[in-house]
Amino acid sequence: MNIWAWVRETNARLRRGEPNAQRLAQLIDELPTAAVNEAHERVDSMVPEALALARELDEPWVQLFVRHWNLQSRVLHRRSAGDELREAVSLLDFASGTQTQACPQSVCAVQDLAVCYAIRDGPGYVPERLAVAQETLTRIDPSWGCFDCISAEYVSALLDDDKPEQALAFIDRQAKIAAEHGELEPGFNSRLNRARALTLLDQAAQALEIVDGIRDPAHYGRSRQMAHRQCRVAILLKLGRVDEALALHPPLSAIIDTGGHLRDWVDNVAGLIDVGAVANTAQLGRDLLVIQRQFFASSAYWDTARTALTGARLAAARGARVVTRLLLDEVDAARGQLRRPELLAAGRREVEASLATLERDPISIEPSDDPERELDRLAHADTQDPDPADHLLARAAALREIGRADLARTLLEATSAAHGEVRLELARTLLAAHDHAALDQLFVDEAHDDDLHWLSLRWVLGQSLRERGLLERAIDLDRATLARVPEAYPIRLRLAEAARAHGDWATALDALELAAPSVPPGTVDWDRITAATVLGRWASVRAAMARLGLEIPGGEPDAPITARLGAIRCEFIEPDGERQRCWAVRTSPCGARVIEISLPTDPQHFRDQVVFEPSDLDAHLREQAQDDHCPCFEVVAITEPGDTRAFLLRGHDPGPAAFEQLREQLRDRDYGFERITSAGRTAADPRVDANADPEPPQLPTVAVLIAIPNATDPAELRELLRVTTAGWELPLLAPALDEAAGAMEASERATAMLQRWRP
Amino acid sequence: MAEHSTTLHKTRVDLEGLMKVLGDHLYSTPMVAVRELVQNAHDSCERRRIESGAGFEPRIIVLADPSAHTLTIEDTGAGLTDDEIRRYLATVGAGYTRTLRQREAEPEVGSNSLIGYFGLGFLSAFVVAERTEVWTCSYQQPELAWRFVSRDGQTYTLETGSPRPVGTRVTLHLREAHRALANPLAVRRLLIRYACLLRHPIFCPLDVSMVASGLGLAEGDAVNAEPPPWRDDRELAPLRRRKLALEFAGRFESDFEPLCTIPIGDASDQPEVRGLLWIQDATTYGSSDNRRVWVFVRGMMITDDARELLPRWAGFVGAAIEGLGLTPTASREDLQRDGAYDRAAAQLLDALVEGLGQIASEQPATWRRILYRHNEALLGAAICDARLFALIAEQATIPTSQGDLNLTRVLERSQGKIYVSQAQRGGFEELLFRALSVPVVQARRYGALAITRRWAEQRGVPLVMLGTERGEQALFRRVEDHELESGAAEGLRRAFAAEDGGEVEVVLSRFAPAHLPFVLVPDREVELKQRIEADDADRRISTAALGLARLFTQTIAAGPPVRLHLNLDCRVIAQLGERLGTPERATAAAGALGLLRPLVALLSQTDEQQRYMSSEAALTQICELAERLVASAP
Repeated sequence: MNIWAWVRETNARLRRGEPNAQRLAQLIDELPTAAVNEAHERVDSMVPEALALARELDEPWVQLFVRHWNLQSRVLHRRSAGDELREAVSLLDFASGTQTQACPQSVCAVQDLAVCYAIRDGPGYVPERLAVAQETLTRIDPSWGCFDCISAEYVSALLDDDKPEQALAFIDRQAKIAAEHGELEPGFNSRLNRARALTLLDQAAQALEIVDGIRDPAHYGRSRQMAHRQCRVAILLKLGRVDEALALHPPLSAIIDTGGHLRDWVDNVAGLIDVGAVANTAQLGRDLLVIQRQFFASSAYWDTARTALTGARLAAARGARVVTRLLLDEVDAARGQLRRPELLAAGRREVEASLATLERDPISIEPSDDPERELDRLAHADTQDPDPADHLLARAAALREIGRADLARTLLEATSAAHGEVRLELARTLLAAHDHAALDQLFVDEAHDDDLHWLSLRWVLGQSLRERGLLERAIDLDRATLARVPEAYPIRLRLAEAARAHGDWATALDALELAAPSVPPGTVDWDRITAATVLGRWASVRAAMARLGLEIPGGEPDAPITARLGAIRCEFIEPDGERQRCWAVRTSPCGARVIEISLPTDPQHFRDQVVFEPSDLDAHLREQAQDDHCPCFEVVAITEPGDTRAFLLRGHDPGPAAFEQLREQLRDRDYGFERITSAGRTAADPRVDANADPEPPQLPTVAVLIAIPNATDPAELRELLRVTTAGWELPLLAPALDEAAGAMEASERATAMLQRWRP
Repeated sequence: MAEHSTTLHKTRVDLEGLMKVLGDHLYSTPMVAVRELVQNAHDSCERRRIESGAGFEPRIIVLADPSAHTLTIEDTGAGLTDDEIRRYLATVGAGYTRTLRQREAEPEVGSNSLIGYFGLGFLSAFVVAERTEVWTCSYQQPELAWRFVSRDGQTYTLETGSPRPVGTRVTLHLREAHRALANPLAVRRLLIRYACLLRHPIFCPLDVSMVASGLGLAEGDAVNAEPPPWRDDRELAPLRRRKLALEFAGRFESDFEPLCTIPIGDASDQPEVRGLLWIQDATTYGSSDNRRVWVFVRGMMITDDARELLPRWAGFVGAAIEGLGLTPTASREDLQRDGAYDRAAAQLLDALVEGLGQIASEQPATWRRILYRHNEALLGAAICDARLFALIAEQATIPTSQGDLNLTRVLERSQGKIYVSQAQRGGFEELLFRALSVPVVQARRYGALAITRRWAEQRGVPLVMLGTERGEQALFRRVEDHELESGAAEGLRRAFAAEDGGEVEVVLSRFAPAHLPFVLVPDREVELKQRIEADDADRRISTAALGLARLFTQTIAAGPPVRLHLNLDCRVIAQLGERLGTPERATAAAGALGLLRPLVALLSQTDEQQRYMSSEAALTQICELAERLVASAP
């Protein structure tokens, strides 16, 4: 069965199903396109959901499809074979189960596994790769989509084994089989591999014809388009058409995210350097190191070793001795993972020889801006003197500049015990790397730190704790620091901020009070007011207001400030993360009482006494609104909950007099009352049969919210309403109130009437 | 022998066949005829402006007459002489506009204001009309008027017409299949979109009699009276400008209202592309694709579906743009994919990302609405663009076992780590994260895992992936035997060994929550090893592939495929350990063990359970214990 025919059928079937199935159809439609177009982040976003849905819907073939395309993205395109190898083996196992054996995609699981080994150590696993590809090809014919891919894997193994003639012969053989099967147009992989083989055989002109014969590489997806482009660069270089090769050579930024392009890029850039078209610089050395590390992280050990060797050769060419030695060490480390390390021996010997020549030349003792020169200078200086601290820091800085932050860290770790400034530098390095565990370890023994560095180290540790969200520990640390160094105002301010974030208002206020005299008015005073308002420390509020030049209300210094300072809106962040805005009356600089009743379905804040952050969330609207502007502030604490609940009532609007009577009754009980619909709203009279009268009379309607204390029995409100509205033409309906009062039948009747009436 | 001579011939054209091919296949929809003829009218006005100078009032009137089944486009442009009718109107592929465009390089001719290029526009008339009539009077011969009539475009009549003002009137007598074009409301809606960027006023009255009765058409009635936002250089208050931009965007969306707009291209520089982006006000999912991009070139709408100009993650975004450098295809219904196209796409991406950032800082209420509507899509977007990641990662919500929370809140509630589950239903992970009182990120949802992982990496926050070996190591801290009383470790292992020698390793650990006494955890790698190395695998999997697979599984240490982690932080397990360490106290633990052992199996719902104890055996033991308790009760 043709895989794409199956995909289309499955897609159509799923789209006729429930929403989950439709979503799955959408995802399997997108996955392959995202993979071949290098939208790998989208693949990462889609795969977990697609897989979960396929399992839920019991679609094993679709599971296989999703897992295969996940591996295509990770393995084939991103060239990653770490955890992917386990997944590839697992997928092979899954694909050969009774449920999935017949799935056309099951053949492709073999390719995923073979490519994992190709990535890890292409030349090392040549026999196995050839055997797997050959075995799979016997099971399929050219009508299968993967015929070209599996054939390409066979060719790739031969090329890794440095056998381009055999590769060409195989390509020809496969082309013949395909043609006899009616597939006259060679596949993309086949054509590109032919070009690669011809290039290796110094038949670059013919290779160029092949690649130029692929008229529209973009048609095959972005990934293949780039592969085509880089192949062309290699061919042009071989032909000596350097300017064209340089113009076509992509920047690193264009390919860094797709590991499958990196090897070609490294080879091409090395070729361009060798012909002098690209400068051999320390920055390029950094770029190659980034690529090398990416290969290593992907378990691409052969490419790691090759890239390190290329980097070493180029480093030696630009006279960077320390860097060359470091890279040779890394070649050796990577070779340990390879089955045929001897393939790199000759190249390694050449670099070693270059390095030996370099090392016979004298080194400049003048400091340099070039970090590679600096490292060479400092290495030479080290041989003259024992390591002074400034040398250590300079070496660490140079190592970081050449992209060796890991070595910088190791150096600092090894020497931090001896030097305070080295310890501080190490702490900063660990913080920058977000290595909080190591940072904690560094502070286990801080008794030896001199005062000069002790404070700075504490600053760094505090930042680490905050980054991790460990606010309590951050607060404790800053408290202890201030106990020893009370004048450390940045730490005091940080303590205040952390305490605020942690809801420890007392600590925050104490810190701010102590900091205030040392900073200009306005720096901390609003924060003081906020914290003091939460704590009810009104003397502190007044003191801060004085510093801000605000008018202070009369009364005792400690008396609460409960003014009426105008309407504002307060924004609450509810426990589920949703935000709700409510009208309030401002009662103090950072305090307000909520006057709006929320709908019963929303968290209720009516009569909450709150403290807010005095920063207008709608400041950007002030200019347009001008005098009408009403600020909105974010609530940071509820000092006195209103402790109310609300009921929604809907029904006939009895007119202003009756309405006002109801309002007074409710006010006498100190219940909240708010009309939420405007006058003029009408609905058909529910007493008139709509079937009998096509144009029933319209009656004015109203919806109101009533808020009662939580401690109040809803039955009391219900009874009050019954009595007050007894004379009304039609009732106010409140099924939720009926239910809360235990009147279930009434609640059901009210619900039914509301559905019919819709007032 | 006869002599052969070579003669030269001219390839002939079957006009009928060519007309059919061009007509049938060049244009995808009959609405294109409206566009083409309005464009011709516009170019005619431009021509008159260029060639005869100022002093005339350019206008174009489009009349759809449902009773007469006609569509008429009338302009006050340059008109045509009889010679021009023959050379340009009646010759396919020869358009005067191209000739005129070649003069555009001359400064006195003016800027790129002409639309047509290929000389094929008038052909569209014959696609929709069974008869086409053209009345025209050229500014060059204002005393002469001409009437051109054609049915099929292959033959035509040409005669002098009644005197008329300078300009042209084209009347299409519509074919039955295309009489929708005689609907004035439909045509007006079309023009509001298609022609909004054209310079000269275009009128499309809904009532034909307005024109017939001689009533003037006010400038404000023109469908293109309001300039597009990026060409509007009036002094306007920001709120008004925003409102107008929303109204403009609203013209282009039939399914979604625009929630807010983002300008493309600064008026002060010379950007490649100018226009407007808008965010749709409709809830989307991660992979929804409602991208809609309207592209105008030289003032005329080329395509309404250039979605590839927007990144794939922007499934909730629409745009209307005009780009001087963009090149239409021959049908003028699509764009050529060239360097200008790529640059335009890059510009749109930058404008969108920067615009979202500005909305976040300057319009927080709108930004919150965008987050609410498009949370999932934005998660995916954040992964694709570092700038968006910085903007969105903290604010968007992630699905967790405790509801949708932002990552800062997840971290706050999780004591410095973030737990992620890709669990299948019924696995041990589900049990564990139900028991944990921390929010667990639901990695099976779109974008959740990718964004959580990146956010955690950036902050050095440990990520605990439930269901993986590393996750297991992070969750369960192994307890060494020497940490317990003598004999306790061995006693616990013996007491909790699997039934019938099942392959279960009993592991002493400490983990949260303390009220969970044990968890049965599969070792998926060992399971895989067992399956791949079993004899059965040789029958299922081909030899060479199996060989490669076994290369991997040989690196996995052999062992039981399931581990039972006993929680030493749970009091009952700790107490059991103390008793089981000494034989004289061990019997006291029998009752508790009788309850706990079956619970191990019943709390797990997958295959692991069966390795430990079957459901039947578990239930039997619990019932037996319950019977004993009943029997021993006074």
